Amino acid sequence: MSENFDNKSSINNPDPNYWRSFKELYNDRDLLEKKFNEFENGVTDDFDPNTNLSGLSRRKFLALLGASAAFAGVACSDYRDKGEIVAYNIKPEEVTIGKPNYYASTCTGCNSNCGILIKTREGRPIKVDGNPEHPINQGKICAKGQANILNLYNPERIKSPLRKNYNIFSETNWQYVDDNIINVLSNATDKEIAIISNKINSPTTLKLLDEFKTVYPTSKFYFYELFNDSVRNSAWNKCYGEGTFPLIKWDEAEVILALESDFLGVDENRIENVRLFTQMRDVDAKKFNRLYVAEAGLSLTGMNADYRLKIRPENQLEFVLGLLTELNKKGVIKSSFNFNVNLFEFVKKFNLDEKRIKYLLEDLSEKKGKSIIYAGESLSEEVHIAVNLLNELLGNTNLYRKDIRKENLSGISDITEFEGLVEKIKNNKVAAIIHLNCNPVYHLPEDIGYKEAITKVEDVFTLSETMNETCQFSKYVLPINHNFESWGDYKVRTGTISLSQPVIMPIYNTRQLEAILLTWLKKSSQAYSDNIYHDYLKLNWQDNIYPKFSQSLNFDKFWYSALHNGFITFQEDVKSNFAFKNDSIKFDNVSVSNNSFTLLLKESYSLGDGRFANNGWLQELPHPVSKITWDNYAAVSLNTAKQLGVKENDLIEVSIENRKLRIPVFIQPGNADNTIVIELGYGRENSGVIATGVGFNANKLLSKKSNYSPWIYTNVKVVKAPGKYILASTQEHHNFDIPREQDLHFKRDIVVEGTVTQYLSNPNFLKDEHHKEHESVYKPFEYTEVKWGMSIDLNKCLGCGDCVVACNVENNVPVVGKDQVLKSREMQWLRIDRYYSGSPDDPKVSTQPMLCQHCDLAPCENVCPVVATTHSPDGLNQMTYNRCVGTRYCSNNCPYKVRRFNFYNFRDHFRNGYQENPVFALLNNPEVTVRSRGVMEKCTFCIQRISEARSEAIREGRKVRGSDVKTACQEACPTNAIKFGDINNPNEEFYHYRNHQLGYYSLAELNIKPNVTYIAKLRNIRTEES
Amino acid sequence: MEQKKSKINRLKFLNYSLITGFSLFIINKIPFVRNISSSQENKITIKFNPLSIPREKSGVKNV
Repeated sequence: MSENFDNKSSINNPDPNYWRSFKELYNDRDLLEKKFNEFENGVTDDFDPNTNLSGLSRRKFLALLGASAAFAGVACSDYRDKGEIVAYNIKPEEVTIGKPNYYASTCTGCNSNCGILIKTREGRPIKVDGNPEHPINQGKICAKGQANILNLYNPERIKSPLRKNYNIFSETNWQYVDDNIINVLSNATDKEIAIISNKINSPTTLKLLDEFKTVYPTSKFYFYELFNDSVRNSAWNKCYGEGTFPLIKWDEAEVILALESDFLGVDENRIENVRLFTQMRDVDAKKFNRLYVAEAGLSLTGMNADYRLKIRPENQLEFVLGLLTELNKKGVIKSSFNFNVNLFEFVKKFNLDEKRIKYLLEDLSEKKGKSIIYAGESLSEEVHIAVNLLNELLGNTNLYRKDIRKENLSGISDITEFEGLVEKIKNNKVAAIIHLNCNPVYHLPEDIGYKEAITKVEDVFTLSETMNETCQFSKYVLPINHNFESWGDYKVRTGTISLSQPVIMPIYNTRQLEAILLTWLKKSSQAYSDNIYHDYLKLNWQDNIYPKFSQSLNFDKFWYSALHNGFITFQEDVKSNFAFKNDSIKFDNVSVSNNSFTLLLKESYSLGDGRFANNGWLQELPHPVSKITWDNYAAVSLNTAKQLGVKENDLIEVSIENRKLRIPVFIQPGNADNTIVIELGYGRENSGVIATGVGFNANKLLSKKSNYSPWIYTNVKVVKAPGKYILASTQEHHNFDIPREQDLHFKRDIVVEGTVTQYLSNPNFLKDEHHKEHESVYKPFEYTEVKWGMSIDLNKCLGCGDCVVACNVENNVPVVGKDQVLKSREMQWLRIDRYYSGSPDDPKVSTQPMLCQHCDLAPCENVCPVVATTHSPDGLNQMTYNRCVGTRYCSNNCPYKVRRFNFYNFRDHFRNGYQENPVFALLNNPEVTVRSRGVMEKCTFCIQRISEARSEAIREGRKVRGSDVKTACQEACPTNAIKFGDINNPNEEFYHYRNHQLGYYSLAELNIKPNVTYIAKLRNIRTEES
Repeated sequence: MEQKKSKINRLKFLNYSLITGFSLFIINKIPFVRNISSSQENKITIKFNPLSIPREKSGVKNV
């Protein structure tokens, strides 16, 4: 933060004061100056007329033009030549040229295995959305699932089998590698064949692995996941004797206490969690839950909390036992255990807000049996056991689902098994290692010694889509199909099996992972065929799954129906033993005082465990909390930063024993003091042009033994390190407030909030406070037909950013790179503005998706000198790209700052034309123009979808309806916060949201009549605070 | 000895360049020549899998 900020501070201002960063809060002069300017300084720096204009005369230019025309004639032979179009001889009946086909399949971006529908055009997939009929995700997928399509068209996929000779990889053929590998495996009769994989949820793949073990008896399987719920499940087992931790009925929980749990952000079951959770944030049904979050680092779940407590992870056990003790004392629960923890002394010791603790105790007492305490998977086993006990005593086991359980087919290997593997390697007892689409060199803790050990094994074979850290140590690297090119089945819950089917034949010379294993199983490279795994899968279903169904359908019809739907459901009995075992209760070291730092290692919201690091859309998606793109960082509190003497972008060195990492600092409001929060998945090597060198590899800090949990370390040493590293944050970009005006967001109806108590006592309270009548000099236009509009319910919007990625995919939005993001040139049409209010130590957070408001009296339309932006008769603010000459006057005049200018042809500019690659270009949606340099663009309300709906309506001989169209962001939003439709039709669901009691327009006083209605956020705080 | 400077007539140069360029352009359109000059590595074939079942397939109903 610069030293030259104003002396006036808004901290003592009693009115809600919304700020987006510390610079804004403290009126930093640099930022105020930036706010005056429409564009960043240096917009025209790249072009200097004094040095860059050529001294060539016109005559010379024409002469050289003739010469270069000769060379251009040779070079132009392939230009724009996309090949030949050959008409169908026999067109498949389901294909209509120009109309998409949809295939049901399953996403493998994480272990949730959500059901998806893949939209294809002319045989190539272009968009992925959730399968509306799938019982788990019900039509929604996360940002990673949306962006997974980019991985299919990744130009850096391995195209052919590779063989390593003297540290250089060269292409070879499948027969060569298959023969060699089969030879190695067949000769490994007295040494182990180690097969390492991520967790497997496929019953058929596991059956295949069993058969593999039969053919190669010395095979041993190791399964791992960088983030897993093994600790939670282990605690559950100790408490209840068997099974896995149950699913929670979030839609029935009236009070939720989340302990270091980001169940709305990165939980494995996130899509279902957010849908169920926001069913209890319904302003129409007047159902509101109350969310308490106790965490050390501000998370997405914490941003949506009604009450937040800053508690470090090593103190969570004492907190839970304190709650148990206090509730026992009050007679709310009856427990024979006496933990003797004084909750209010705990509150004083850690400077917590005593009022909030009292509210929590009262709420848990009043809502016994209708509340849930949920511990994050990174907490210790003892905390989970204590939480299980508390839920048991409060009767909250009502909210455990007893009809359906999570499956854990392959399980996760204990870390000691990997240590054992390393020992065996050192003792020369391992013949070969096979990595099945995993990256243990990157993921496993370094002190296991796996990376050093595998250099001693000659035969290391890695099956992977792209090069990664593990491939570098492999003798053969075998390219596998992408998920959209593969067959598969997945069982993550009882009673449901999802299927995946290929929507495109393999683009390169790759094979399905299971097909490769089947070939080795049959001990002959000639055994391979393109459909080998399809036949195996189908046979397994015929033998083991079809018999569970009634035999009224023959198997073929059953199989086709299952592929058509993407899943099958069936009745499966679940043994749910909920008899608590008291002998599990034994806690050591309840009260922990830690004067040094605590480190939390978290899963990345957009990259997962790092598998999406080479995905530009996800790297450029702003972090939901910090709004940082392209890097990870060490999030610290303001006090901690002062203590360390660091400012933002300074480097710190984090060390645990002999493991060290230098990483830049980000000052995160709301973080607990002396806590460092770092996301994993960054700092990749040899992983592609986008991933390599981005961020910092915090996996170095992992250890096989931790004094707390695999992801949380105490007694961490942190010191300031020399140097700086600039982080690209979007939180100060696209300001649309007036500089030097405090609490403008409140006064100008940018952020409008209330409380549940206010709403229940007077549903029209917002209109009473904020209602404004404005006159206009313009004669209003009569929209007699459909008029398109959107509403966004800020009670349901969690700020996750799934809509942003969906919009990027649908509308061919380019990736610009970190250097351009630093100049505010990110091209995302939709952004999630995040505002803090209150003090930096304990802020409240408000989020607001901001996109083109399609104003009736749009100020951008009047100022375009070439009429490139106009207004349609159905209420859309249109953009004509080929008229635009790039004056940027429209963007200057837009009060919401939602217009994006193509300063470069970013497809060509980013990473030396990475996005111009012919394979990458297949990703583009053919229904949306690909914009070039010098052209302004913005949200179009998915005009291509509106046009398609209109065409369909004309074919059916009727008028288009608002409900016929779903925009990409609306389709993607997992909480259904976004609604789109016809403002003029009172019979539509959307009409109700457009005219909602809590509806308001952002910057309403400008009287430009925006067509996006925001439903004001209500905080469910106690009546006495309301 | 005086060196002879050859002056290139700009108009002639322009004309010959344009004719050369145009000729090369036409020659490159001949399939035989095009196949030699274009890189086989960049050719991508998009094919759908005939065993997959799209939603639009008639006669396939929900289980």
